[in-house]
Amino acid sequence: MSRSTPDDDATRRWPRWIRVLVLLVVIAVSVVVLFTWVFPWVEELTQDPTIGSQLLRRPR
Amino acid sequence: MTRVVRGFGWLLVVSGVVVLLYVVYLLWFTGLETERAQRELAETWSLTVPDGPVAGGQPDDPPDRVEEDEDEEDEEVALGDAFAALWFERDGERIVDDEVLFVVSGATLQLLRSGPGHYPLSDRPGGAGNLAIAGHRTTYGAPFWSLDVLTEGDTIHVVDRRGREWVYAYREQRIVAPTDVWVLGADPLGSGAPTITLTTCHPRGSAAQRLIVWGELLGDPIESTARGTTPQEIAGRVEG
Repeated sequence: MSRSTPDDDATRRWPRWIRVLVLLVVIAVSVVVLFTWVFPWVEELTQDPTIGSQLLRRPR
Repeated sequence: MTRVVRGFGWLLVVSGVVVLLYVVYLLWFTGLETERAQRELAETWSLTVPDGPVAGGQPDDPPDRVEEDEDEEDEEVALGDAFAALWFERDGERIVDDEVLFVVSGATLQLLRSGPGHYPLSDRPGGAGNLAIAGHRTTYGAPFWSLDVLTEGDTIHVVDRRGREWVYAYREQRIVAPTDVWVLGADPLGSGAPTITLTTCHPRGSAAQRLIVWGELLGDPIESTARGTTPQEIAGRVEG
């Protein structure tokens, strides 16, 4: 059985600019998701000092 | 396979750093946001509210001697604007917070970033019903961090937008579930006296329960403006 060499791996890799672009897109999407949904949800879960607001979020 | 494991490892490291930064932001930097908002509220307060108790300590006109002005009494305060000023005293010394806290109109999480917030359908300061105010226990300046230190004999001072100071005597505190909306009712203590209800998180750093502090008005109440007839209606307006 033949083993792949580092040169083979390099030829199978995507071009560098595509990999950088994918990384940037992943980071941008993660930041949007974190600040739009995750952090507000965590804040609601741990920092809500009001009474009754949970009733509004609970399905009747 | 090695690349997948390495990638997963980096993902965990980055996630850990993001969570750490978020906690640092919540614990320290949210306070700066609230501090700035309180400064702005103080500025607008000084422009709209007659000179008096906040600056001088005692009201120029005790509540029972102020002439009523129906138009002003019915004034709607826009969400996010300064609704009242609040502080706590024990034997003439400030407790809970060294500063006067400016209460915003409305009690959404967004509005509470500026300071304590007034539940929209609850009564006004000095009203015959229940004046309800929520505030953060931790983060965003933690205005109610030490709310649990209040004991018998302490007083809760509220100045309304006409500069009148209303004093409530501390009565009771209790730990309740976040869904116990009865605490916002017109007469939660069943005493028939005009009441102030303060709500905050319990324990610190968690919203699993709520710490509730009640006080009763000292002096004569004015006509109530509470618009919610049931605690559920008041709670229904929490989200603004």
